[in-house]
Amino acid sequence: MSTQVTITFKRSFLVVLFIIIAIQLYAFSLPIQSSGKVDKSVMVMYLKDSIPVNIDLLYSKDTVPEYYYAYVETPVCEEGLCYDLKVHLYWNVLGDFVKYEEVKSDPFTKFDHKLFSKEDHLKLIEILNDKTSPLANYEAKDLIDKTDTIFSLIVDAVTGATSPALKNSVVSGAVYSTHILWNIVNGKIADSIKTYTEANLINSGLLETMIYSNDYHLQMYGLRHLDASNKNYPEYVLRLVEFGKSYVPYFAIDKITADMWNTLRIQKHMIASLEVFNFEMQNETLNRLQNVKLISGNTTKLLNQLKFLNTSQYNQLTKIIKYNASSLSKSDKGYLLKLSKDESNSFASFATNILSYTK
Amino acid sequence: MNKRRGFLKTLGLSTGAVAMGGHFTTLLANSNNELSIDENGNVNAGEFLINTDIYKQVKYDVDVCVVGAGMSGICAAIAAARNGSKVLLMHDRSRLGGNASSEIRMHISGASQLKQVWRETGILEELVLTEAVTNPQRSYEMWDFVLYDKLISEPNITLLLDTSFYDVKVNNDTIEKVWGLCSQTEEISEISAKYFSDCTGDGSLAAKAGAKYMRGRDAKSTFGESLAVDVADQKTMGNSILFMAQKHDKKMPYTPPVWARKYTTKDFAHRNIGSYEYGYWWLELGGSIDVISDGQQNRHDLLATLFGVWDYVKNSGNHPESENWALSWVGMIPGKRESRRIEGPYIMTQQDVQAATLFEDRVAYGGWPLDDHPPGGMDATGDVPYVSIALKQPYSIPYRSLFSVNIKNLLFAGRNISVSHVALSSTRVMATCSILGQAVGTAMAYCIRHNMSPNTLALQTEDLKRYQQLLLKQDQGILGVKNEDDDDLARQATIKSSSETQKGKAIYIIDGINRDIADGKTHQWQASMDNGEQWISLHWKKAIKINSIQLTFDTGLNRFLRMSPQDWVYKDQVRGAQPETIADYTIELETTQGKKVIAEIENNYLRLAKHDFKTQSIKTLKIKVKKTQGDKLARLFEVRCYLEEQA
Repeated sequence: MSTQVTITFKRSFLVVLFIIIAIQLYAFSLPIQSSGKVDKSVMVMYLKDSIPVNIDLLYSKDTVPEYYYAYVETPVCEEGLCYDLKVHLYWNVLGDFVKYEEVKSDPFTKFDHKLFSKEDHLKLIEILNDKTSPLANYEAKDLIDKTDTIFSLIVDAVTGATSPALKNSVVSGAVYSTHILWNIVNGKIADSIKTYTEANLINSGLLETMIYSNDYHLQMYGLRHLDASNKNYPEYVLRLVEFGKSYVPYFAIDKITADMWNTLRIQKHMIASLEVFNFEMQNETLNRLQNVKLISGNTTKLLNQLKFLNTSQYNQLTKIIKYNASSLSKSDKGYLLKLSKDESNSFASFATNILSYTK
Repeated sequence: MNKRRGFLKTLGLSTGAVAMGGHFTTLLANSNNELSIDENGNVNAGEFLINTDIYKQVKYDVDVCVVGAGMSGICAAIAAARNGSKVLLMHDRSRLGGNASSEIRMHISGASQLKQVWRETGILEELVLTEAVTNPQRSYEMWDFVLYDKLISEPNITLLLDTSFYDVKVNNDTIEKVWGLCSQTEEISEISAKYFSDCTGDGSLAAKAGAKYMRGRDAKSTFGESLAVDVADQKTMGNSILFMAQKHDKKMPYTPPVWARKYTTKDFAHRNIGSYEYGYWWLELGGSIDVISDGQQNRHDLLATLFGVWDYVKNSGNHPESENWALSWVGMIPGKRESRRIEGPYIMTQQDVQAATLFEDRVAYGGWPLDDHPPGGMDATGDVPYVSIALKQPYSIPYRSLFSVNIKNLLFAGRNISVSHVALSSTRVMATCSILGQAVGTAMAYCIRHNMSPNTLALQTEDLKRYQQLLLKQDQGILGVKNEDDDDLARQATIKSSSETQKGKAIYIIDGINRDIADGKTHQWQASMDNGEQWISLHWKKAIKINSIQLTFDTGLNRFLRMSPQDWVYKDQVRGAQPETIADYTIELETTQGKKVIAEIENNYLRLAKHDFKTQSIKTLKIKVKKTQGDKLARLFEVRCYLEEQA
């Protein structure tokens, strides 16, 4: 009899324990599947000088540092209505905001205990990504327009509307939550993360990962720390010329040295890329090929890229071809002759000009 | 000297061994020659030019000397002159306006940037309205002449152009005199005055006089400012040179000078080239050097940058639409943003700007964002050229930031006032500088009339209030200050009108507020002109004696109004007279001898109208509005009535 009771007790205890653990895991689970190594608590930062925040370093599958992670719990009051803000936060290795995850059982709430809508979340993400937000330089209470009050439908509390000039800088109805989140994400923690990375993690492997990433800031950092003596220098530079985000390609093309422009590999790559480059990168390429001796066959290749260029670019192209007129093949000259006779082609006069130079 | 007096007497002008003011006496003051007069009192013309000494001294003795005739100095001089002071305004250029003149062509920016209702009023408004109406051709040089005209039309102002300040005599912490040199006329001018205003921008007068000043960027720890740098340094915002270009009907190729800098697409990652007719504020250098003493090199570097940028526009291929464009004007004077900040009893900080501290001694307001430029400028094209923190509302500037903490008779206005580097990033713009000039000019006149030092004025509450009321009367905008002038007889009147609107009741003309202050009320009388002429009248139970009436009209202060070489800047503006302004009106008094018309005005376009006349005893006055500048409503913010002392 007693054995049966014990077994039942043990089983039910195990079941309860299992349920408790399941609840814990469900409520507090790490949403990003950490497929790699985790260095726990590489840093401890303090919110409001008293609440400790442990920051972990997450590695990618290839054991390259990838994200910093912290779980933060902090009380927030939206004008008298208080709740515990709980959030999982992720930064990249330079301290830029990557993402947040709410705790499913305790999502963010606004004034009047309203939940964040999908638009609110999108707005919040936009704000957290903005390092130049005025939230850095205003206290949360200063964002409220004290002359314009909103009354709660639920509890005996009021809040103010956000000042019109700063309305766009917060999620409406969640001024304090937005403010505190922004400052946690972009404040001291972000600075400390960058400092930690630069002091402990920067190596050729991490720089390569940054260069091959899809993030503008990481790419620029990698590019800025590239040494021309690095054996992979040409490969890295070409990678960013082609896959750089936003302005990265313009900085990258600037890193192609004069010697590199004189090599077959670079000339071939850049000339071929005229097909996929945007207008400005085409111009950058054409400008830098001025007074460059093109190696075997590249003159022909360049001439064949004519179809991807604009009339306003013909002048620059012509100057390069003329400089390399001696390496024009017979069929190149035939092609130019054909073009020069085609009155409907806007390149005709330029073709004539080049041909006169070859005689 | 006798001969000179005789000469002056011949022309029927007041005599005196020293120049006292006014343009005619100015012209004559500069003639240092011993004039040969014959027995008939005629000048022997041939002997006129014989005894010319080069760099002979000319002395002036005035009430107020303003050094620098940028927007601050111009407004300071006019304000002091209109308040009865004899003013000497010294400027080291031929053209007036400083950074706003045709020599530099920077925009006059200010609180309009808030996009609310806060365009600056007072003397500046008078200047920009005059330009908008008289210069439809948008010629910058004609704007210079609007300024020139305003200054020489003030009898109390002696204008010394092309005269560079270079020395000062200080005795017992008080400036006794200053010296300026004019090479074109080969003279040295020595000016003695009771008060001096440093409107040089660089605080040159203050520095030479031994006034305390600040320079560079303050540390966070100095004033507790979140936007300050961690460690204090000597860096500042840089200078800019602007240009203008025109479109032609054929290709205009461009070859830069060999010393021009070279730029590629990466240099414009954070710097937008949106149009070609006007240069770019981010064409900036100098923050990392001494913007004053390294000025010659800075100018050259800026020109090298400017031509490099234009070379990029014309020849990089990225701007094919610029093909027919060509440079038409290039500045030679770098427009400065920041150098010295003279120390006053109060130093304004970032917190004062953002929290809009309501100082008891507030005399002006700002509204431009906290707009700081990193010192690298075009030497650091990888960095953003500015960081701008928008403001929620305008903020006040205290009188205690406008006079020296250690030199007793030195005041200042413009970008060189008593502010932190961060606060300067907002106060430095020229509309704000202009109203600071008006505050300082009025303060000096007040101090002279009431025989008190600038410091005493700051400490006496009653005088401070009277000074603020005087500023308000002269249309200076001051946040949260109402008309409480006991001398304003209109405040005791009852008001009637031909008609009024719901939002624009006639009584509002004496409600103490003369503009829209975004409190939901219009603060103006409004009457529909659809039914023809409208009138508004003031009535007193007991007859009053008056000799001066002042009207404040509506000039659309919710809009921008400023000159620009750039087309898009005019998009939100109305060029010319502002439609809300009353154009044609008459003022009629009911005197004991019957009705008397003391003003019959057509095509008014100014905000403030002042009508002075022979003293009359009246019980009623009527203002008849015949026409507006376009608006369907007649609008009138304020009427004031005074019995003023005869000058």
